[in-house]
Amino acid sequence: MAGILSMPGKAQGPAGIRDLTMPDGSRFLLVPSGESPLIHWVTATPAGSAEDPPEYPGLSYAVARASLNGTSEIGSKDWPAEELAIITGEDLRLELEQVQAAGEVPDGALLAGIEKSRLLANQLSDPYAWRRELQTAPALQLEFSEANTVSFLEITTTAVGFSKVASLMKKRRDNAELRGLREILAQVQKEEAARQRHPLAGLRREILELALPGRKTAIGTQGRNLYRVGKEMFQLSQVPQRCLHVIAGGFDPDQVQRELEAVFVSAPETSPVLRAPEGWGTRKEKELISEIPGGDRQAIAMAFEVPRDANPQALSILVDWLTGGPDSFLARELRRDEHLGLRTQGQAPFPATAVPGLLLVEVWEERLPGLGAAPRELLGSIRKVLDDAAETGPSQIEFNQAVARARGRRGRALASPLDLAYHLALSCSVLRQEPEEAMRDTLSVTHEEVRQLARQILRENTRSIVNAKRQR
Amino acid sequence: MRQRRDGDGISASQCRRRSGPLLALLISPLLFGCYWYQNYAVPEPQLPPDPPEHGSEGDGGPPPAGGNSTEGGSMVLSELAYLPPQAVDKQFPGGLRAVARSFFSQGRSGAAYLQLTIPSPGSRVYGLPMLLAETLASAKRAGNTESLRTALGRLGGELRVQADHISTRFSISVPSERWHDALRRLVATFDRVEIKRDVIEEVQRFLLADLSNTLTNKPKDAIVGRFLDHRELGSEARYAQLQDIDPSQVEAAFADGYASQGSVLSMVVPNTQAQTLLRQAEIIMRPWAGSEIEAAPEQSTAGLQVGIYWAPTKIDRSTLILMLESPDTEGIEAAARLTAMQALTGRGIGGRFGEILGQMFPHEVGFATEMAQRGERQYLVLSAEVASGQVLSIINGFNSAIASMLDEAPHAEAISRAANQVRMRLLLQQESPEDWLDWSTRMTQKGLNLEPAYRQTLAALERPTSIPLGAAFTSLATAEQTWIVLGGRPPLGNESIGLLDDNAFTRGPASVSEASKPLQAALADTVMTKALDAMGGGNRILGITGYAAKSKTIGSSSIEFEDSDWYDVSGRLRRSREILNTSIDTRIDGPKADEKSGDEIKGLDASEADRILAKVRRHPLLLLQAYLLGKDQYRLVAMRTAGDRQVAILELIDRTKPRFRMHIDQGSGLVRAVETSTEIPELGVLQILESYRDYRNVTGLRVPFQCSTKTSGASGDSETIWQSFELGDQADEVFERSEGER
Repeated sequence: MAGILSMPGKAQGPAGIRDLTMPDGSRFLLVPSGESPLIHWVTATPAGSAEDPPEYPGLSYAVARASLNGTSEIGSKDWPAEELAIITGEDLRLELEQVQAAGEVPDGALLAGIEKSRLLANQLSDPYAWRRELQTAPALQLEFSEANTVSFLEITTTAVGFSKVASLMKKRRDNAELRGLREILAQVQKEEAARQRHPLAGLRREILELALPGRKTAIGTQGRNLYRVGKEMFQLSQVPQRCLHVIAGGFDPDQVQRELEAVFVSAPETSPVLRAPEGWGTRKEKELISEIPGGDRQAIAMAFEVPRDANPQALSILVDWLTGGPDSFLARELRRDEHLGLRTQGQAPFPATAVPGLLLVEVWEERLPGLGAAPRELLGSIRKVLDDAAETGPSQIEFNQAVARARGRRGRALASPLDLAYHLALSCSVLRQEPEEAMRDTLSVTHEEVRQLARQILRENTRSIVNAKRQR
Repeated sequence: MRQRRDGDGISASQCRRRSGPLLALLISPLLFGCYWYQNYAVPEPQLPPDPPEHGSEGDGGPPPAGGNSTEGGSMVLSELAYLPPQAVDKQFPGGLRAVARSFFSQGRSGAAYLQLTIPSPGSRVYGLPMLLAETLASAKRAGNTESLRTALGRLGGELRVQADHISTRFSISVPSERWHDALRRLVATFDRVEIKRDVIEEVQRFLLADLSNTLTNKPKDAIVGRFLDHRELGSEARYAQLQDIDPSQVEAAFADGYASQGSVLSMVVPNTQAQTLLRQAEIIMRPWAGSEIEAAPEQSTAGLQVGIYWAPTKIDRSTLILMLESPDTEGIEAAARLTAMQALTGRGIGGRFGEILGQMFPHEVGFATEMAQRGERQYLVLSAEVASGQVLSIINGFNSAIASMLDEAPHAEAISRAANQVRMRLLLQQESPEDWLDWSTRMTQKGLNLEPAYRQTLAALERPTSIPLGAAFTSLATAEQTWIVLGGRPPLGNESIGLLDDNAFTRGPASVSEASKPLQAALADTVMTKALDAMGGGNRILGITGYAAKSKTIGSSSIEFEDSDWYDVSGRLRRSREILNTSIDTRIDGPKADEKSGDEIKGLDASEADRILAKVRRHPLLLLQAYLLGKDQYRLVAMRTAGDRQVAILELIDRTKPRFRMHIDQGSGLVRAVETSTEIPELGVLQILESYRDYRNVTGLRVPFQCSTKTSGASGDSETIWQSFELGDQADEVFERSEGER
């Protein structure tokens, strides 16, 4: 399906933000700040466990990273030969996996063929070429970072380099060739095991199974090699309606708009059909509990269904009050119940691409083996605390403090053009806010609203619980 | 790594990765090569003429509009006159130095950023400065219920604490109108805090957990940290020192107190004159700093150990790390050195070093870069994953690259590009309040005037032709290099390599959430044993050779069909289907697969035949047989409870197939459901859940007589009820078509 064609739209948002839709459907937010001459380009695309096919956890992140390694035009000495070597190598690897799955010993010719393909592909490729082109734009930053359900690409340039950067970004979107995907996927999966940010990957996968059963994965993997699966995944991530680009810094918005309109004219011919995730409807059970074989420490995740019409600001205040740091309601009450050495965190919506998504609460012990007494049963304590939270919600003082923290976070998010770009990229993609709402100074939420939301979510709506019990 | 929270619930910089004071280019190390210039060598750089002067200096106003100007292949930035808002510094009493900057924030409340950097209390015990600082952040004030962290949170702010044996840093961000309260609260912490033993112990546990995670999972960060902090201590020793700290040592360190002498306060607050900020801050700091004017000593932190250090392991891969001190913005000389470093290293992709590496090891070595700080010094850290045998060659290659820069200077375009990169990076540093705080603290610690030095550096970068690169290249040749090799084995007999004992950390944290795969497989076997017994026993299941069955299926749009199936475990199937007054006879026998309807026979697509057979093989008895025969292995991924029923979820261990799961009821041991996906060209990937019930005894085996199928997407749900199901051999004739049928 070709990209949706539309005339470029121009909406004047708050504080001079322009909300533009390009002819190919790409959405840009232009935020001229008139300060430093640097221009920051931040792109947000969906990624993470909600996007990954279950057979390849981490693939969405790996694909995004590999997409920086050049295109069919940039970074190859002979693209047809290189492509053939990549595909041949991946087909042989698929054959190797099938042989190994059948319990057989692979023959030397198969292994030699894989290595030969790999070496040939390496010799024909230059994975840094696209990034070097970017540097010559000139562009400074190429930072790639990952949240739980979204990946960000950040480039810094100036007015001089903007047009070239735009052109290179379009080329990447249309023709990225994912060099080194296999090695990068191995690295991503290794990092996931080591990540401090979310040591709870196993719980999250199971929570998604319970709370969003039958969630449809758009990418089929059967009989297809990693390269082909990765290419389709990248194309899906780059469908114009799924990306949000934020341009912030010192620039003339009319000039930048002209340059973007000249570049983002048509979507790639191979744009996949955009299919919304589907499941097989809501489940009947109010509460589902799952125990997974855990590691050396106990961890518990609880996910609550969020009502479709929930005020995002109220939801944010609720999450912060309930789980935000060592002084949160959950952390405090668990400590009072003599559960020490625990960490808590919360997130809503989870995953970012679900509508309306879930409120996810996670608790895990940091108590190291051998330090102090073994913990008492945790799940019962967490249930009790959350029942109390549903009953009372935050007090007026706690609500005021949460609002103060939210305002503080908002202020920090606007501290520099780059921070502003990330803030808008996150708010307007993942959180689906309009730019006006994302930029608003004041919070339009009442104490009673948050209390009611707490009652509804924590008591009335369906919940899923995953308990990773400590293995002795 | 800087972490800041974004607005609404989700932390954007739980995702956003920004590295250190100079925002370096961070690339995952790849086993690919580096680009190499073919035509860089020219005897004299030929740079374009300087751009015309425009704009005014020091007003921090908007950049002039300009276009791209290229002459001689160079790119010229057209925003050359931009200068960031000016900073003001002042000597406070008590040897405390302060520096402040403001900016105009129109129409919206902004955040104020404060950073107080204090010499750490004199102790070489690893972890004690951090434990003290974090305890102070968490401890309650005497006669109060709030800790510093809680109090700042109440104001809408955040606190970050960093400490090593050189300095302790408290970094605060808070709504701008509350900056006075935040600073007062910080000062009060140094004076009136109740330090309770249980608070110290709790903080200690969390620090141990963080250290354990770093030592185990981020060995590169750990060893860089070791060189910045306590080089003589290996991983186990550092962990042990932190673990062995007694709370009384923390109390004693607090009693020694933090000295204002040699401390630096940096501030960025919107919409207030910098001089006003400093006047107000001086008053707030007085209870701590006192009122005596004392000269502030310049900080002088020792440099890193120079040389090659190797922490060996038995694996033949190494992480190779180079640490080079990077100059700050100290004038024209700094501009030259920064440009030279950029031209040499390319910040990981290119540069002269990249060219040399590309010649030595095509497509094999790629460096990542980041910045690190130690006291008032900062370091460029380059790292790459390499084969152990390549280490010394790469180190020699680096020095060859430096030597070649002296012999053949980079050409004009490369110099210009390097200068542009450096300039943009410095502007970026000034744009971010947090990076500016780090920079201004460093400069102040060195006793440098911020503004003139910075502006000189920027001005020099705007005129690459004027940068005295010759001296900079020479200084690179004598720059101190610290090479660290993590993993692999050093060559024998090389006395220039210092050995480190850093790879014996055994107290790493296990996974929080997942058991090992072998354990999951063992648990699955336990579940399967029960299922085999419940479904009729392993012997009977192994003895299944085929079946004949009749069933009726009602689909979601009320379409009904009746099937008569004959199946043989060798993989042969015959299905006779009655649907909408039509009979369809399907036969599958290995590669032969066809369908007959009326007089017409057509061949079946291989993928369609596979799909039909796959569904048949999902019968619970056949799945258990495949497990018994060793064809399929499973792992236990979850034990789910709904009401009073508990179900074990087993997942097939086979990466070549779409994910496949079996749900086994723990009460009865029966297979309750199977879950997988299939891809149909016209419809895409469909998720399938088949739920079995109405189990009956058939010749000693438990056989389900009802199956509900849910399919995501267009196909919808269906219900299958069996009228008969007989196990046993099926005659060959059943699967063959007679001559008359063809």
